Amino acid sequence: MAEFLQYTTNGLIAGSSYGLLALAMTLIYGILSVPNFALGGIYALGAFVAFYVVQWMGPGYYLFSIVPAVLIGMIIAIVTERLVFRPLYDAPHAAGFIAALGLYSILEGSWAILFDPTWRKIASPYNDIVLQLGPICLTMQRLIILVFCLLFALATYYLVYRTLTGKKIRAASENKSVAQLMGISPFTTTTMTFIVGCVLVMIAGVLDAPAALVGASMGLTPITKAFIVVALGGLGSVPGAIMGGLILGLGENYGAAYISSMYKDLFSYGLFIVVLLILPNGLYRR
Amino acid sequence: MHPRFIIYFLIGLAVVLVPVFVQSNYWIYMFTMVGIFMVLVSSLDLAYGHTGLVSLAHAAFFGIGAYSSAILQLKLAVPILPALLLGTLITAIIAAAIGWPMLRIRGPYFVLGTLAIGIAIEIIIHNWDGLTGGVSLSGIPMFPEVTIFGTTFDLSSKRFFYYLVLAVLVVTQILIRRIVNSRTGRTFASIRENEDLAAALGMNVSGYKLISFVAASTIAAFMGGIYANYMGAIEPEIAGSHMSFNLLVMIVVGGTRSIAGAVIGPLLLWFVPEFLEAAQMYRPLFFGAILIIVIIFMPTGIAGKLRSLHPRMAKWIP
Amino acid sequence: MDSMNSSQSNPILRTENLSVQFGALMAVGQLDFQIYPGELFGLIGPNGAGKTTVFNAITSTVPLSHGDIYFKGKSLRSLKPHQVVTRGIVRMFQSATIFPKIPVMIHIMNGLSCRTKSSVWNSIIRPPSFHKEEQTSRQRARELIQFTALEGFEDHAAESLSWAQQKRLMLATALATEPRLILLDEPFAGMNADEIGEMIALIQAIRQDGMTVFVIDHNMKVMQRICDRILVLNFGQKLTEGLPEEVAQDSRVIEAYLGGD
Repeated sequence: MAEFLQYTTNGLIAGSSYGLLALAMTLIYGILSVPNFALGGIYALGAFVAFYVVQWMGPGYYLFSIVPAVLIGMIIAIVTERLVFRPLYDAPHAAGFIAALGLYSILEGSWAILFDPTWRKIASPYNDIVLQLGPICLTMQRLIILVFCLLFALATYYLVYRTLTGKKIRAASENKSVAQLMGISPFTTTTMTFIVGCVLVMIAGVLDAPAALVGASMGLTPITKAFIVVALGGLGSVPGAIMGGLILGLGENYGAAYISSMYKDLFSYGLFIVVLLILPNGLYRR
Repeated sequence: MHPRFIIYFLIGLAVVLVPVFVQSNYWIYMFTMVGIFMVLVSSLDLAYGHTGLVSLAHAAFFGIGAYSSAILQLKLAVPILPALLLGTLITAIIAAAIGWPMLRIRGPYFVLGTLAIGIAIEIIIHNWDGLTGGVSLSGIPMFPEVTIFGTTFDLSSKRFFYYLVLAVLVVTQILIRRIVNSRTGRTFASIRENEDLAAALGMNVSGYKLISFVAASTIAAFMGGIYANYMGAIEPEIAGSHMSFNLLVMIVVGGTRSIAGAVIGPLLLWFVPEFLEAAQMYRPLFFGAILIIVIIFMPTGIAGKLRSLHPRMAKWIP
Repeated sequence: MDSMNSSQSNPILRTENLSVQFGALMAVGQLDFQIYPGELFGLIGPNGAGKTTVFNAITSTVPLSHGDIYFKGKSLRSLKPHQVVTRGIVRMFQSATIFPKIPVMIHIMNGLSCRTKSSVWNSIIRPPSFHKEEQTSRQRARELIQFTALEGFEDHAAESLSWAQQKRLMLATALATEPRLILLDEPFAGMNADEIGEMIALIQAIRQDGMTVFVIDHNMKVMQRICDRILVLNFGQKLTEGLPEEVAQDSRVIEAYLGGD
């Protein structure tokens, strides 16, 4: 039982991070119908921001790195949207998808050149604090990941469902031309969505950095899984992304614990393929 | 004779004579690799360019072909030629088994599914080390020496493989041209252009998608088998999603549905990074940048762009 | 030809309690009708009455919630859309749904695909039968090009044609599937009087060959002129059915049209 609770906690922590990434991806998918793989490169940038803040200012400033991460996320959102995705607004969706893959490749290549292609660890002060909550044992850092991811997910949920900006985003993702007729500019809505998405991914990068190795290609596996979560949760669905993230995190950890840890990654891809075959349109339908 | 065919003939002659003039084994190796990529890109074009199936699992079938042929030779001591054919057949069956349920899925979900399958196959190859040797499978036998009419041919030589890959490329292109210019190929095009209309005109959409997918995978698998014997050692990465992505970049940059496209894409993306300083490091940057530039400014690829420049060019670019 | 004695023969298409439900919405409910061989049967109704859903149900693109459809006495239930075409029913979509980049000649040959047999192996090996089949396909496509007055456009991409030409191209492609029953969804929409005249002439010519035609359109005037019988649909239910002049004078029809716009 204690073991089970431990796996559940681990699963929820991994799942909350998947959920945050998936949330970013699903918002952008809703508006562009493009699975934006480039978010994987932006996630790695978030981790690098945390790394350099800790290196230059000291471990105590680890959580402060969220601030520059958010600012950089906004800039990179506007730049990539203008330069890469806007010219492909009317092109077939496959073109946007392939361009996103290309952008990921550019980002990963740039980080490798700018920051050295080595893997490094972040000295977060919260890595060494071990909490014992009943039978469950976890580091402070992992608790921070869980709490902050859920917090930002809730904030996004509020933004999308309770504010005017969110209404515009949802209207544009529902039907672009009708939204345009209602006076909602598709360009500003897209830019807004990109900003929200990129900022979320940067934050996820900052949060996950101390619990993982920081490197140029660190975003590939998480973003691929976020991609799977989005597909499972229903492309474009916000609650689907959060729920799907948690389910994948839990499934992976139970699978690794009770089936085989060697095939932990295989488990999530296998799960995805099986679900896709049974429900070709994802778990949630909008 | 039309000047166009004289040019084609000269290009063909130059390609055939490369091993005569190029002495460096390194460059022969580079040209052979580019040839292998051309075969893979041509076969991917059958699924992607002609049928509209965006597959991120194409390299997986190249890898399964390479591994199954190599394993047959290493573990069961099957001679090279039967192992190659049997390995290709096994891969075709696996491709059909994967494709049959997958191809009912449409649009972005299909792309996601092929991505997951590509990654899953790489992981399986990596972890099933009893069969696949884990990180690397080495000791795959070289082609033997053969004596015909008193002359001995060393089939393990780099030059022999250059011609072998060239022959596979030519045969692949002929096969694809023949399939495309027929009832089957017209059905592929219909599915690409409008799937619902194709079904409304009585075409078995999922059946023909499967044919396209399996045919493309089978060609890749055959090339994989030859690659295994050429290299002598293979790694799981050849089946990975990264490799599949590179193939997709090559076809998009070169141009779909075009012989020239299947040649230009691999040439550009294989050779140009070689000339860059610190090539390995700049490769992803170069791949990504050229991909985005081409997709924004030349939606039909370099070959398509050249064709559209002048009506006469359209005739010159095959 | 045999449309005169159609009412005595067995219906070519018969629906029994045809119902299509989307969630809570009953798009078409308990619809019964028969179409006889050689007939030109019309279906009219205000926007959203479920006309296109009836076509979707016949061609198996939406599942039936209840009821059944019989073509030449055999049920069409559980067939895939492409199998319905093989049975002899083809449909022309509402807007000009075409293969945009495909040249006219090949476009029409695509319609022949379900009647020809050449396999992948045949296309690679190319035995004499392959060339023979290609030749007859081309010949048949040429006849259809001539029939729909598209000569001179053989190598033009379908998307480069005018609206009316695209509609005629779709008709030619649909005819290439050798149907016994053709479903036309608003064949006159977006056309001027001359083009409508040409389309009517084409439909009349098809009927000369014994084809049964089932047509949906808004244009009451044209429908009255060409149809043998008309069924009126409103909110997914049959309002009335009968000869064109009877239907036109039916007060419920007039009300549905004026009230439902």
